[in-house]
Amino acid sequence: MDVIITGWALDSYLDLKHRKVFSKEEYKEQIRPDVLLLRNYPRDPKFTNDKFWSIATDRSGNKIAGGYKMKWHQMGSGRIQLRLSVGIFTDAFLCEAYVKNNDKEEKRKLAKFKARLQKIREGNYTENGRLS
Amino acid sequence: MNPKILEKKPESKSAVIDIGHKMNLEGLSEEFVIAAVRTALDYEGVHDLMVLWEEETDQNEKNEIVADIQEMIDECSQKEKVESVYVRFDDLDEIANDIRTFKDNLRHVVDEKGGIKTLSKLTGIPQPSLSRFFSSNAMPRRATLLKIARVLGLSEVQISTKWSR
Repeated sequence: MDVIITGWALDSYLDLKHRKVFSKEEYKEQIRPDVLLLRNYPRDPKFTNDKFWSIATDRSGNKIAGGYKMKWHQMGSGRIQLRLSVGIFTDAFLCEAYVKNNDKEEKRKLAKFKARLQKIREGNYTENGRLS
Repeated sequence: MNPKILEKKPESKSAVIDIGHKMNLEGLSEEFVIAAVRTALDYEGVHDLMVLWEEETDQNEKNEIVADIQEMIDECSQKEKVESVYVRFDDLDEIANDIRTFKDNLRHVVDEKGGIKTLSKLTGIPQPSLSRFFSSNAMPRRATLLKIARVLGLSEVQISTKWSR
């Protein structure tokens, strides 16, 4: 499975990196290796750990088709909860990395994620390369 | 319009239009409301955002939802796949700094010409959306820059940046 970096993922990385939410070391030693596991999805056992990987649900608690969340806990000096929304189709689409601050904000993020998955299914999105 | 959404939820159309009326009554521009309703009828995620807006009582949170809806109106207008350049992780800081400098300079010009409130009235883009535009380090959309340039009489040079979508 290819791991596609969407324009939404790039924008979110730009914002988080500029705000120093995570360090270069955390990216290279934790985040990137975890994201690269998607190349062999769903074979790695980490995908059965719901503290690391879970199905995304909308405001009503319904599953978002093709939508998943990769999760990191206690990340960065601020010890934040980092999330990465991922669309799984024939390829894995990295959608948006964000800090989980509260439930209301996450509901908004997931509503946008639902619309973005529709954009991916339509083929109307921006690709900023593939992780290899 | 995506007929699948309306087939599944026949009440959605009137519910979304009702929310649009409420948005208009709360001072959001007609241009924004029409675009929001149209997008919500095609994209269930945007419909969800409108319902969240209606249910929300905290004004700051409502403003964030409005900014999200505007973001999705812009994103959902993309009608093709765009293959853009790969950006190395090590280059993110430099790009983010360029974007920050560009937006700060543009914000300075906007402030000289009446500020965000005036810009919002002239463009029809909600204030919360413009505030997020200037505070985030995401790449600016060319369409947004053109709207700003048009109403403030800015030149191509003043809205030029190599990091836009």
